[in-house]
Order: sequence, then C-alpha cells, then structure tokens
Amino acid sequence: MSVTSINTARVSLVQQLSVVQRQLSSNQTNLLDVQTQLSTGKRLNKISDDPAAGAAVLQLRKTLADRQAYADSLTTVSSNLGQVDSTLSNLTDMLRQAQQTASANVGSIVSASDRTAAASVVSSLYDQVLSLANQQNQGVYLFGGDQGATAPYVADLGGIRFDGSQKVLANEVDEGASLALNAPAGSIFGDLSGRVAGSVDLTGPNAQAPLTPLTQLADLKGGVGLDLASGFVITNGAKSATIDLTGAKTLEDLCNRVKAANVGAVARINADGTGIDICNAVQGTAMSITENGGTTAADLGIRTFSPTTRLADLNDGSGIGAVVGNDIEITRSDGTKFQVDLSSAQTVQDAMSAINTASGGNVSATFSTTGADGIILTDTAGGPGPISVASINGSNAAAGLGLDGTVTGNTVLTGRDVGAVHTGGIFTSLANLRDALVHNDQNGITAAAGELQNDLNRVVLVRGQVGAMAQEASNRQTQIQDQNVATQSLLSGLQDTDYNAAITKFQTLQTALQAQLQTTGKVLNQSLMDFLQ
Amino acid sequence: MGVLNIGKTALAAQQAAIQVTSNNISNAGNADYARQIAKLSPGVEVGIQPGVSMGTGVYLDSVSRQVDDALEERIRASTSDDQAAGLKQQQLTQVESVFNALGDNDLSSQLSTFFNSWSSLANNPLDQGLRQVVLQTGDTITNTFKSMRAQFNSIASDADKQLSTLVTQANQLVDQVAKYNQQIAVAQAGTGQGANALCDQRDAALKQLSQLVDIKVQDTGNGMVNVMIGSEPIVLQDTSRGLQLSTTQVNGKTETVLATVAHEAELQPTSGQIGALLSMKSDTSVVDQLDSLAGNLIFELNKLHSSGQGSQWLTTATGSNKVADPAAALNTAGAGLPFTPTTGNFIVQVRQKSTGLVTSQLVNVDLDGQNNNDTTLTSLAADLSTVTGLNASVASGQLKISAQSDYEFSFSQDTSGTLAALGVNSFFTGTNASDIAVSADLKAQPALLAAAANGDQGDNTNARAIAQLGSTALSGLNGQSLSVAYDSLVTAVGTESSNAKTAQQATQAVSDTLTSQRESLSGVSLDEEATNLIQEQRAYQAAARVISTVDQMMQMLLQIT
Repeated sequence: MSVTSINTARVSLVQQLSVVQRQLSSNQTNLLDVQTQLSTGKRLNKISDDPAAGAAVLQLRKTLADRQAYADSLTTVSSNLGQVDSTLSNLTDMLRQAQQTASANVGSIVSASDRTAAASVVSSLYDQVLSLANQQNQGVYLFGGDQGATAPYVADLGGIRFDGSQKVLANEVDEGASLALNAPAGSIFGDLSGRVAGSVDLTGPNAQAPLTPLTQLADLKGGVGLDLASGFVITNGAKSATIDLTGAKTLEDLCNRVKAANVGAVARINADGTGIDICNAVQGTAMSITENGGTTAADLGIRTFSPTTRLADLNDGSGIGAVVGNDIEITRSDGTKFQVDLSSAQTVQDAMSAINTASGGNVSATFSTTGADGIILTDTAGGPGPISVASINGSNAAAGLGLDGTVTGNTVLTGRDVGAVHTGGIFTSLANLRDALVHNDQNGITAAAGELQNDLNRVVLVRGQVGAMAQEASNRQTQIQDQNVATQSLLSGLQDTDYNAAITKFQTLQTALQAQLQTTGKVLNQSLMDFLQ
Repeated sequence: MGVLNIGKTALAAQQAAIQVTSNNISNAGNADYARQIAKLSPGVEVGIQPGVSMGTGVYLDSVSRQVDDALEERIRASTSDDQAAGLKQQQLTQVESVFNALGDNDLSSQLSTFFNSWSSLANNPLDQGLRQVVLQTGDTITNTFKSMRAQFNSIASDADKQLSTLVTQANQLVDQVAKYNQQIAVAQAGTGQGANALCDQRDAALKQLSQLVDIKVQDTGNGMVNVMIGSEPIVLQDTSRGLQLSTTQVNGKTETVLATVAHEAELQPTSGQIGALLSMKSDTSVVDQLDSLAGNLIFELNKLHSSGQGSQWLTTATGSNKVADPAAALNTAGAGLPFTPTTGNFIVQVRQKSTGLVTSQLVNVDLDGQNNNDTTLTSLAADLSTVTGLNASVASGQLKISAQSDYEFSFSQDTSGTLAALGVNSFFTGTNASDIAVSADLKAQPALLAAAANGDQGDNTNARAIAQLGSTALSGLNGQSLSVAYDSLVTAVGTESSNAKTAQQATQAVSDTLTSQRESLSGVSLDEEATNLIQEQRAYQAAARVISTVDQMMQMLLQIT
C-alpha cells in the first residue's frame, strides 16, 4: 500500500478527497486479496503473487507428476510379477510332482505297465506346463516378452517351439532406474539352444563388427573363402530343409531363408556382432546342420559336427567325457585291443588323429563325407569278429564321440552324430521323462529326474529373483508415498493459505477500513462554513 | 472628496477580491483548477503639502494563478511513468492469466499427463485403450497450445485497437494545446497576465496528454508553450504537427512507430500508455518462446515417433510438411521445410504379409552440399521406390509412400531427421503453437502409434523414450528440457508481472506525492476561502462605513447653509 506523504502546509478539498479515495481503494484491494486467499485456500493463485515460491511450486508439481508415472509403472510391475510368482509357484509344484513320478518309477518293483501309466501322468503335466507358459495377463502373454500378442510356446515337430521374444520389457520406476515388467521366459521354461554359435569370425574390411542385418553377404570375411553357392541343410527332428542362398544379398536375407524353411531353427547375428548363430527353437528335437555338397556351413561356422568341431561343444556342450589317461579301448576284428588317450585332443580331428596314431595302421578313423555327419572307423585287420569300442577308466568318450554306433560287416563302425543340437528346458526334461517311462528305460528316468532337478533349481532361483524384484517394487512404492507426503507438505507450505495469518490480516484490514470510513465521514463533514452564521 | 474616493476604491477592490474568492470556492471540486489570488495594491500617494503625502485608497493589482511550473512538469513526467507502468501491469496480468500456471489444468500439468500416458503405454504396449489415451492427451496439449496462442493474438489485437484509439486522442489533445496557445497569446497580448482559465484548460490538456505519452513542455515566454516528445517537437507555438501511427522496417521486421503527421518525423516515446503499448507490441518474446516450445515438441517427438513402429505397420504414409521445390536439397531454403534435416540415413523395413518375412533397406540422406548429389524430395522418392514392395511419389510437394498389396512397411533408426522434417509417420503435424495438431492418420488408426523400436508389436522401447522426452535436455531449447523451458517461461512472465505491479505501486506513490504537493499549492481549501471571505466582507463593510461617514459629514456641511 502506497502511502502519500502529507508534509504540506495547506490541505485542499480535492486533496482530502483523493487521499481518502486512494486509501479506501488500497485498503479494499488488500481486503479482496485476503478474501481470495481465504476462499480459495491458496496463498499463491498466480505466479506473480510470489515468483520465487511459484517457480518452486511448478518444480514440485512436476516432481509429483513424474512420481505418478513411476507409481503407475510400479503398480504394473507388482501386478505382473505377482502373476509370475503364482505361475512359478504352480510350476514348482508340477515339477516336484514330475520328480516324484520319476523317483517312484525307479527300481525293479515297478512294472513296465506301471511306468506306461505314469507316462500319461507326465504327459498331462507337460500339457499343464504348456498352458502355464502360455498364460495371459490382461490379454497379453505373460512370458511373451515384446511379442505378447502371440503365444510364446507352440507345439511343433513333436516338441515345443519357442516363438516368443527373449527381450524382457522394462519401464522407468525412478529417474535413471528401471524395473522389468515381466520375467524372462527362457530362464524359466527354456527358449533357444545355445548352439550353433558360429565359430567363424565373419567380419571383413567392408563388414566390420558389429554386423547388422543389412551387412552384405558378399562382404563377409572380406569376400574370400566363403562358399555361398552350395547352401546348407538343416535337419530338425524329422524335418529337413535345404537352405538355398541363391539371390540372398544380406544377412537379413539369410536369416529370412532359415525362417522361411520353417524347421524350428532361428538364425541371428551373435551378440558380439562378429558371426551368425543358428539356434534350435524346439524343445524335444535334435537339430543338425550339414553341408549341401559344398562348404557353406563350415565357412559360416555353423556346421554342427565336423572335424573342426571342438570336442567341448559336442553332446550339447557337455563334451565327450574324457578323463586323464586312456579313454577308450578299441577291439579290432582280429581281437587285438588298443587304448587311446583323448585327454589332450581339442577337436574331432585331434581325436581321429589320436585313434589313427594308436591303432598302428589296422584301424583308421575318418569323417563321413556323405549322409549324416559322424566318425567312421574302418578295420583292415581282417579278423572275424566285429570291431567294437568301449570306454575305460571311467571315461565316457566312446559314447561321447558317437562311437557306440552301428557296425556294418564287422569292419566298418559308423559313428552317431553327437553334434546335434538339443534345446534344454522344462519341456525337454518332461518329454525325456515321459519317453523313458514309455520305453521302460530306468537310466533314462534317472537322467530325466536329474534334468528336472536342474529345471527346478532354476525355477526356484528365478522365483527368488522375481520375489526380490517385487520387493523392490513394493519398497519403491512405499518410498514414493513417503516422498509424496513430504513434497505435498512442502507444496502446501508454499501455496496454501496460512489461515491464522490470513484471518488475522483480514481482521486488521477490516478494522482499519472501519476506522477509515468513520474518520472520513467525520472529517469531510466538517467545514468552517458550518460555524459561520 | 478624497475620502469618498478612497472608500470607492476600497469597495471596488474588495468586491473584486470577493469575486476571486467565490470563483475559488465554486471551483473547489475541480482538480484542474489552480487557486487564484487577488493581489491588492495601495493607491498612489498624493502630496498635500511639502513633506506630507496621503494614500489614495486601494486598487486590484492582479489575479494570479498559484501554479509551480516545475512541479507541473514533474507531475506530467510521473503521470507518464505511472500510466505506462499501470498499462504494462494490466497487459502482463492478462498474459499471465493465459498461462494459468498454478491452475490444475495448465499446459505444464497437461504436458506431464501427456508424457505419463506414454509411460503407461510402455507398461502395456499392446493395450489399444492406452493408445487412445495417448492420442487424447496429445489432443489436449495441442488444443491448449492453440488456445493460448489465440488468446495472445486477441490480447495483441485488443492492444492494437487501444493504441490507435489512444493516438487519435493524443492527436486531438495536441491540436487543443496549439489552439489554447493561440488563444492565450491573444488574451494576454504581451502582458504575460490574464487568461487564467485558458491556462488551466491547457494544463489539463497537457496532463491528459502526459497520460498517453511522455512529453516535455517549454515556455516560450509569450504565453505559449512548445511540446516535445524526446527531442522532436509536436506543438510549436500555435501549430500542431499532429500524431499518427506509421510503420518502419527494423531488422527486416515491420514495426509500428509513432510519428508526427507533418514531416512524418519518427517519435520515440519511452512511457505513457502509448509508449508502453508500442514497446510491448515490439516485444513478441512470449509468443516466440511458446512457438519455439511447440516447434521443439513437434520435431523432437516426431523424430522419435517416425523411427518407431506401431503394433500395426504402415500401408500408406504421406508427409504432412510440404516442400516448396521438390528438386531442392532438403536442408535448403528452396525446400522450405519448417524443420531442417541433416546428413544421415534411415532404414525402411518392408514385411511381406503372406510370409511374415521382413526385408530392410538403408536409405542415405546426403545433405553435405558437395558433389552436387544432395538428397532432394524427388531423389528420396526415387530411392524409396527401389525398395521391393514400396511405391513412392511426390504429389504437390508432399512425399507419398504406399505399400504394394501383400506388403506393409515401417521405418527405423533415422539419424538424419528427414522423416520428422517431412512429417512422415509423425505424431504431431504443424510447425508451431498456432497449428500444432495430432496426426489425423494416427487418430484414424491408433494401432499405428509407434511404441516399438525393434518392429515387434509388443515392444515398448520407443514409448519409454518418448515418455522421457519431456525431461530430456534439447539443443533447440538451449539445453533445457521441454518442461523446464515451459516452467521458466511461465516463471519469467510471472516475475515480470510481479515486478510490473511493484513498479506501478512505486510510480503511483511518486505521482500521488507530487499531486499532493500540487494540491497543497494550487488546490482550493474551503476553510481558507471562508476566512478570506470573512476578511473581504469585513473590509467591504468598513469601506461602506467610510462612505456613510463621509456622507454624514457632507450632510452636516449642507445643513449649515
């Protein structure tokens, strides 16, 4: 309120009136201001009421709005993870039931028909696990990753194909912090096989890492030493397809050709961006990649079983089970036996060389050039008996190299393909158990029980992680609520009317106005004229 | 008979004094009136005998106005300042109320709601309902931007109308002052006295003029005053040079200025209502900043959106921004795009619906100005046409892309900003606050809303990125985020408004104090006038008594004969 200084000698009528007017209007303006504060409950009704406080209010309101988004995300996280947790709880029960079925059917008391009956129980569990894996939350597949509109697990090729995405969705739950909105399907049910990881670096001068879907095939490996004309063959379960690369220009084209072949195989650029992987997406089948008469598969580093395959990659990465000392004993057709030490062999070629060296010339190990991939032992000793291979010293190398295969004419042993790729996961384990029960195979039942234990351990671990994430979400929710209370109180202090102060001010102003009106009424009424007669 | 004559002069002088007092009393309520004082002087002494002389009565010497010219000048200056501050405060209050910054539904809250709706979509990217929410909140923002912009326009056009009315008023006042000058000069006719009422009226006109524009008044000594704005005269003696609005070019922009009618000299008023309106008219920073905010929101969000994919891919896309010359490089003035693309590239992906297979192709955008091979709209359309499954063409300056049957397409990883600049697969259309809108294509097909960045229909990467955009520092906003830039604009306007209020209170206090001083000197005090009246009445009565005494003396003499 501006105060006019009245240090004047004379007081004129106009002056008296204008001073009264100004002071009345100033007083009434102040009264209106307090009235607004009292009726709106807000001290700040516009920024100019107090720019500094106004700026702070805007900032705090933004903070509250941001937190609202975080709180919404946390609600989704909690709801989704709650659903995942109950699914995992069901899954754990089912896996335990499968394990119990397995342990109840080991031993000699159980008959084959009992096991066949038990197999149907496992079959039903298999179906139940499938429906758990394809569970939906608000119309979205819980384990579908970023492809939640379609079922992630589909029956195919006699097994279960993973069609979902390995990407886990996440969203911001605080500045610079995010939480997963769902759980990774792969670590629960299993997704893609680890192999075949391309063992060849495909980068070149015009195709530098990381390779992209747009990288030209002609630029791979600098354009040399790559047979793209022949193509390769993918065999998955009972299905086989030749991947013809004619006309394919980019890595994306190559991946599309594999996808179009529809054999449950997925081709993709590896994580380092240096080569390509072809993975088996089907649990319950074996996938092998062989040449189509050329060297394409080997050149791309995706052949599943070849002389250059590392022994450690065989049998789905469990190696050949070699021990220190001699691993296998080969009985020639003439009955002579010799032993081979495979512990220093790195590749299939190394293993074959070791056999050839130890054989003394009458047995030669070669790699098949036609048909299925495998090691072929040819006996030239000319004896009557069949050639045979046995593991010794607790080694498992005979089976590990596939040398427990069929013998033709007592002299040629055709090894099995031990490079074929299986996809681990709950469906594989359950299928293995079911098949072992059907086939009355006790070792198989025990092995499947072991796999189920691994699955169970993994599920329990994931459940723990999900629980921890849910806990974090809940903690963050509480934290946001606490922070909101603090912010709200700060905000209230800045913008809300302090009723005590406002009412006191209102009273003061009212009193002042009253006094003003009274004195004005008296002063303006007085004039010398009244006293002159 | 000398005594009788003395009585007569006294009667006449007191009568005149009573007339002045009555005139003062009758103008007691007139703020423009300056109190007048009747000055009486004794008559010339007449010598009766050597060494002895006697007075001859009293005469009215002058009737003078009680005015301090220097004070009047200061009052006029402070009036100009006060009026300017008052008008500025009024305008800023209007501007501030457009922002409605602390309301529950201001643009700042709406922006938060909008970006939060993207975050909600990121929580459940397959939910079509959430896509609708994003589009609706987007619509709300665009409507608010447009309505704010319209309100600013109407404030500006109101101010324009007010300005032209005020200039007409000022012109009339200037003419009046010139006319009063002439009349006063005639009335005073070189005596430097009289014409008090005309002087009062001229002062009133000058005071009114000073409310409109800051003037300087110079006394020319012959009863006339010269009036100037800055150093440019608008009234010279009895000639008015007139006031009018005209336009001039400043830095390529047309600006309105005040000028004289005669000689068309440009005037530079610094205060008064006209001065305040002119300076606010030339200051378009608030609207410019609002436009810049909207422009940055449009371009930055479109950059992200155009590189994302919806839960459904596109079968047709049309650039919402027109290119003036399809043969001009896209970053040149010839192309005339509202947003400027840079050298870079983007990937166009085409999916064959029947097989589900996706083929990608890199499209390069070369805008380095070298080798005469810069990308034009025509060359871009030609490049896109080479992609299997796509047709691209230019129609009336717009890029049109359509998929052949059994194909659909999407874009990703645009490092050049070309798609956003052309308005292809964009979220917003328009270029600033006045024409911002949510793309009609998206409203018709919410599934095209690009929440994904990897082409998967359930991906949320792009929605997450857009949700963060509100808090991301943008180079177009000098490193401020959208929300910070908006808040600082609002705070700046609020601070300015608050400062204007304080300034207005200060100028008013000065003006009130000066007016009070003037009133103290020039105002009429009724009590004082009443006292004067009594004094004059008594003097008149006494003078009448002198005459009656002389009369009695005369009768005595006459009876003797």
